[in-house]
Amino acid sequence: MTLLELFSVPFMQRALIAAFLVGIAAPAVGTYIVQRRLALMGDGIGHVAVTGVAIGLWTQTSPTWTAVIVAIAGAVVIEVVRERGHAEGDVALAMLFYGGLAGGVFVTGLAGTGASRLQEFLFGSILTISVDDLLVTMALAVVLILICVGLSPQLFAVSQDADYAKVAGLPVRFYSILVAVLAALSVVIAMRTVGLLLVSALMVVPVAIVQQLTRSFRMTLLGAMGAGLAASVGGLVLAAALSRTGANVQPGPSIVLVALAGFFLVWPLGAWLRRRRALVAPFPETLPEEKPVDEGEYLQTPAELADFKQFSMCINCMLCYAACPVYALDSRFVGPAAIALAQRYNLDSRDEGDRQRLTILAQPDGVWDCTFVGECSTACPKGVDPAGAIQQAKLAAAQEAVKSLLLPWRSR
Amino acid sequence: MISPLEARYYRRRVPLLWWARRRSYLTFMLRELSSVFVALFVAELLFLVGAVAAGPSAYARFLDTMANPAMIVLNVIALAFLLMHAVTFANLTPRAMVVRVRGRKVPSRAVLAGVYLGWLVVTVFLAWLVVS
Repeated sequence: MTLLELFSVPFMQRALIAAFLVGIAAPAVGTYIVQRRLALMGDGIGHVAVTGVAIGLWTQTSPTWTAVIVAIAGAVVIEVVRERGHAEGDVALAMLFYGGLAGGVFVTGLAGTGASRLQEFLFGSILTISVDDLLVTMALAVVLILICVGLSPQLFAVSQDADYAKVAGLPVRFYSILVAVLAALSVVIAMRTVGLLLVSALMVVPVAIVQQLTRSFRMTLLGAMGAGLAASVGGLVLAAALSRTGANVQPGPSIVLVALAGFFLVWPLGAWLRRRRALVAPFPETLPEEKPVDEGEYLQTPAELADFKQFSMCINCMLCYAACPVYALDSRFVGPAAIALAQRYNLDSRDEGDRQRLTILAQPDGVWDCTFVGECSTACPKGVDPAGAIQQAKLAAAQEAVKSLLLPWRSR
Repeated sequence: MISPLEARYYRRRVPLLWWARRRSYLTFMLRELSSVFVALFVAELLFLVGAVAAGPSAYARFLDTMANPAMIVLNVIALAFLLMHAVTFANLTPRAMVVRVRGRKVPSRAVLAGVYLGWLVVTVFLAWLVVS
């Protein structure tokens, strides 16, 4: 039986699909967890989820769903205990972990199913995954990936610097708990693939691999998803290949070992890159180029002037703010005139700060608060059309966001 | 500096019926409301797909429900809102989008004509898809 024939067997195809999705979803969540310096959180949730699996086995219901419920509850408790930041926090967490593990083994014993059934979940048994389990895994993985990529600005802000995120007006607590819940879900979908005891590896190791090479957060996220995919599919293929020689290697451990091998393969390249970057680190990569003084002033064609002239006519009368119902209802909104002024510089051919400005404008209380009532432009005595400026800034910000998502290496 | 709690006394309060005081505010609120009807059409489309997938009897039941006079009235109102949504959205395009051809700014009338032309092409294509 060749390797290709092996993958024409239905259970191998199911295993391949599961490995594919878990390989993408687990590192996506892992990126945020590593960023928050909670690399072992997945491990903790995995321990707690053992109890969930055991309850499922005991009550003869689907272990997947009981594991989802218990893992989410455990993740929220871990997050709350961590947030309190008491000195005994780590002791409380350790008690939760071992309580979860011991409780799981104990309840399995009550169920009388024996340790072999539980072992499927502890070390993974991707080959016995059923069609129903696969569908649940697929649905959860897709949701996870969508949230991790779609909410990446918010989740990154909260994971990187919670205080800054709070000042920027983000509900930090909500997003912290969301990350914990995402971690719980990824533990559950990964438990059939690599097992509850190794689940953290698939969340952390791909991120560790990629972090040696990347500097931007977005590249880390996408790269970790790629590395996780390579490790999980590669580990499955390795286990399948070894099984032809008569060995009985489970895919879970081989996936983790492939990921670790990837880490050590990338190590020299990472060390070289770090040394190279250290040489240029103190200097920004590109400084705005200024002309020598004797070359004269910055000239513009009439067409270039016409691009922004209209928006430069503002006299700060604030009539647009008086006309804006959005500003009246939510005074944190930056408002029409300020955004029109920002757009005036964005459109100026002599200006190079549009990227920085768009980053600020796209934040909460920026352009996206505007619902295009249009009354600011009606009220403007100078014909500035702030409403139009805001929509143009929205369009530019959206284009920039899509561009940086599709071509992350082009932006930083 | 005063606290945010005190600051709210200095802020002009917005009356509950602020949107009824000006025609432009009213049309704006109706436009916002139209998104509910857009969602309704999306839901109906999903139900249609679900009924087609579930078999002929489910499809017949779906057609029965949709033929109910109350549903027809609701859908006519929804269609009116949808058209308003689409037309106002299209009319705002030239202000949100500065289109350039060979460095020259395209006049807003031409942008508008392009948007409506695109709409027409998509409509004709969908009509052709449904009829044939």
